[in-house]
Amino acid sequence: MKKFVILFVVLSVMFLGTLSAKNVEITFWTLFSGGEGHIMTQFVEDFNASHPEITVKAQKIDWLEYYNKLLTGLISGQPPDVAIMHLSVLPDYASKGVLTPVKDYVPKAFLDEYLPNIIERAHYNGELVALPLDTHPLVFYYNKKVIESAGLVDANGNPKVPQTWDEYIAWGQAVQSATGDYGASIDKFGMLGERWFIALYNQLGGSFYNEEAGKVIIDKDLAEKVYEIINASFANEMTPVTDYDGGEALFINDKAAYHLNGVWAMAVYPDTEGLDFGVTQVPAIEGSKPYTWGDSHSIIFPRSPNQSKEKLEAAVTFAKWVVEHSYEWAKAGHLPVVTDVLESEEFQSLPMREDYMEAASNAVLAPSVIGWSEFREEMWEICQKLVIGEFTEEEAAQELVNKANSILQ
Amino acid sequence: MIVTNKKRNNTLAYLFFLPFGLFFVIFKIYPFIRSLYLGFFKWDIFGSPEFIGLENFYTLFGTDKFWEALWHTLYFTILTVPPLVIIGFLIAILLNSKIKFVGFFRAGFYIPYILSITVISLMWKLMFNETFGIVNKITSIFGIESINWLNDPSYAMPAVAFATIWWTLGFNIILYLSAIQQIPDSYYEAATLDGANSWQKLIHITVPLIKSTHILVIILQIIYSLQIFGQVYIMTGGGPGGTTRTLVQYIYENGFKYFKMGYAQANAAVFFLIMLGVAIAQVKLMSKRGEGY
Amino acid sequence: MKISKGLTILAFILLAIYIFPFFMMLVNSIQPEKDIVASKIIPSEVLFSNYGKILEQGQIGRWFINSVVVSVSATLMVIVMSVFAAYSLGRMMFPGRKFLNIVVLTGITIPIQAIMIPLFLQMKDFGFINTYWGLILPAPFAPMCVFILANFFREIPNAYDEAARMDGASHLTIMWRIITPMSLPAVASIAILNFTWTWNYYLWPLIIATTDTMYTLPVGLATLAGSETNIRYGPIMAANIMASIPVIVLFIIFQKNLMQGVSAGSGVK
Repeated sequence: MKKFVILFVVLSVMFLGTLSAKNVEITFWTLFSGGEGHIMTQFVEDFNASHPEITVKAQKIDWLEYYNKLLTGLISGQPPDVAIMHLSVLPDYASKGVLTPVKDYVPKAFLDEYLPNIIERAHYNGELVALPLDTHPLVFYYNKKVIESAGLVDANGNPKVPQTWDEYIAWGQAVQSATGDYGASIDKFGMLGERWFIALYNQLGGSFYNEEAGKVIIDKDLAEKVYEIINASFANEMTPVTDYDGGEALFINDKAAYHLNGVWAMAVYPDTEGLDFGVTQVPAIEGSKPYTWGDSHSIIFPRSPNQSKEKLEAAVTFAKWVVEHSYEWAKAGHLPVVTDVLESEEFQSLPMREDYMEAASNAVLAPSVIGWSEFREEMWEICQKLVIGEFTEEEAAQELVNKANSILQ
Repeated sequence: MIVTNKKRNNTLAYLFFLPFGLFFVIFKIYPFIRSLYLGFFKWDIFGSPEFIGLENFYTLFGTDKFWEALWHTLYFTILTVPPLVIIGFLIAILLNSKIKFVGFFRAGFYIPYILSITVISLMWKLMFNETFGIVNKITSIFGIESINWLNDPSYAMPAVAFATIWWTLGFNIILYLSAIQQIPDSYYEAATLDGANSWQKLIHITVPLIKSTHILVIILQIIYSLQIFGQVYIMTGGGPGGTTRTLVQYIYENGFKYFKMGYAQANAAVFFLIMLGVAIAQVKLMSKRGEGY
Repeated sequence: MKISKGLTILAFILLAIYIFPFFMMLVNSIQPEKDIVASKIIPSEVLFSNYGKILEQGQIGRWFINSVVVSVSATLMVIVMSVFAAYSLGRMMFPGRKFLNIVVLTGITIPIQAIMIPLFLQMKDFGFINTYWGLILPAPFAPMCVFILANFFREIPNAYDEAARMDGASHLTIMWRIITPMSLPAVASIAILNFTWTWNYYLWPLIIATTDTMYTLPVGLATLAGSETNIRYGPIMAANIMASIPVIVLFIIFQKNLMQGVSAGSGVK
């Protein structure tokens, strides 16, 4: 009889247990579309299939308006439970208190796997408010056909890849005069004024954020040196002024030898018919590591009036799962930021990744300051004015310092 | 003469206006007043607004970027309005004349207007590309050197203006077409009886009778051009070096990218007043000719 | 009716030049990306995969229906509002008429970015977020339509309604039996314009929809366009062509109404 009672009790508890195992539904907003969008959709499907107690409902929003929509969602008290955010704009949102800290929900072992330069930026005021998914640094592409037709090959017939900026400029100009094609192409907005600038600035030993002063301080002389290098690459028609698509069009149609772009282009270049290219880390100033700019797509957990502990836990579970599977995500060209994924076979077997994966640890992310969104667009504009001849290097550097002082905290 | 009951007439008039009036107050006026009100505050969207009186306005009038954006917007308007009005009118006349397959032609001239702003901007961006674009391929036939249209401060805005003219022609054509169609056939018939030819009919009947449509088209075109944002933003990003940034872009950036909502609203208020001023000035100018405005 | 051959040829040449970019768009939609950015007129290979990618999208049918519901409803709403309002502004004399004219004018000058957030909060208060009401009600193009229609109503010679008034007709009768038929081209044009604008409208539907089942067609198709740093021209061109077809068809059907002159109204005696 006793056994029967125990069995009955155990079965009832189990039965009641399953009754009360509610399915938690969480909403997820992403700005990924196209190829990246497919991978993300697959993630959601696979996660939902393997986690019956959680249902993720994803909404794709086009990248141009993503942040507008996130903004209205946050203001109206109807944000998603989990969303994507670039780490470069994290401070703007974190400082307004709209992101939920999640350190308590994540195992320490998981956090320790992160690359230090990346995970540091996912904190604000000491709180962990995001789980980074990838980093997408600036890297160096080269068009083998154009280089070979300019005769810039070594003894074995392999294309010569510049290791320093002096080589970059000298050889780029050689290509231009030998073939009439451009030495290099680069997007005139973010790539030029912000990303390349940050890479060079750090390679020259500078650092935006001054720990002592607790704010961003730009060294005017250093900035001037950076602008000199950039300007030199536009001299003698080595590099045209183009926007992103224009620069890319030149590179993939064999009209430019070198191309500074982000790793995301790896989602497209390997499949581009007729493009024979290589990729590696950016050239470096003599004696420096090839520091480069990077940003990171990370997963955030917006605060909302409807937030519950269950939803938050479910959201973190989802985020963690995605990060652990980020070798899939790496197919879009981005680099994983968790050491065991970086070292995994799945990731290493992707084409050409070994040529540039070190860029992940050499990536310098934007400083964690409020006002970065506005400041970086000033950077773009100042550099444009430099290369179209409206500013001298000195004027550009001075303007940069002025803007930093007035905009950044 | 029949004397109409004034009071009843007026009540009826207000009643007719009411559906639109109500709609207008609820969905336009009310949100707008709320937003204008924000111009007196400092607000980063998430926190509480902080009252700062006229400070935003002082700031904006003292900022170069604001005046530059205003100028760029005016420049764009000057570039686009005359061609849009004149060419629109001419094509409408053509489409109203005795040509075969007129329906086919009308559809053809309207199609570009149906396309979305994103696709137009991207298309023209490709066409204006320095190395590959069709525009340079065509100009090179005439011996003109390749121009880096969208990346050259002197040519960027004209290029965007050209694309816009191409795109919005359909709008003016439709307006002119309906105006012309509204002219009673009897007028033309009477003129034919008097021995007038097509050209004379055009000059003496068509053109004068659609005078208020001319005004309409010009006003709408000016207002529309002053509000320009999308095409410029997609084609040049406001560059190079900020030389094509328009006022609406400036407002958008401040409000939605830099979280300076109060400041953006102050800009929007000033902008709105400018447009309103222009519109009213025009209407007053035209009503001097007794158009019944 | 003498058909002028010369003018027809002229129209043809002008149209060919004018429509050329659209033709390029069609070519682009079936080209590999590399060709598109290099503006090749003859594709190096013909791909239909851009269209395939779009049609794979399960939600397209739903997005299409949403667009139809919203555009048609908004247009009907606007037509009715506009005919009444335009009649009072354009054909009736009453105190405050000039003022109301200016009011309508201000409606056209209010930029959407300025009122976007207050409007959204308002919709939230009404409970209209992510609903058809939220998509239809703000009808941003209504003031423009009223303004245009008022103008056309104003242009109709007074003789017609004076005659009708003599016969004892009320304003309502005059409005619906005489003025509207006479200005059918104008009504047709605001219908077409409002439909086109609503159909292509992007920013507001994106904001008011919080699930992608409520997206209208342009918003949904934009999510296929590639990411921030990898704009894929091919899908954008293909998507846009597909999204434009309904409006083009509609236009072809209704453009006849733009032709109806006063022959419709000349039955008034």
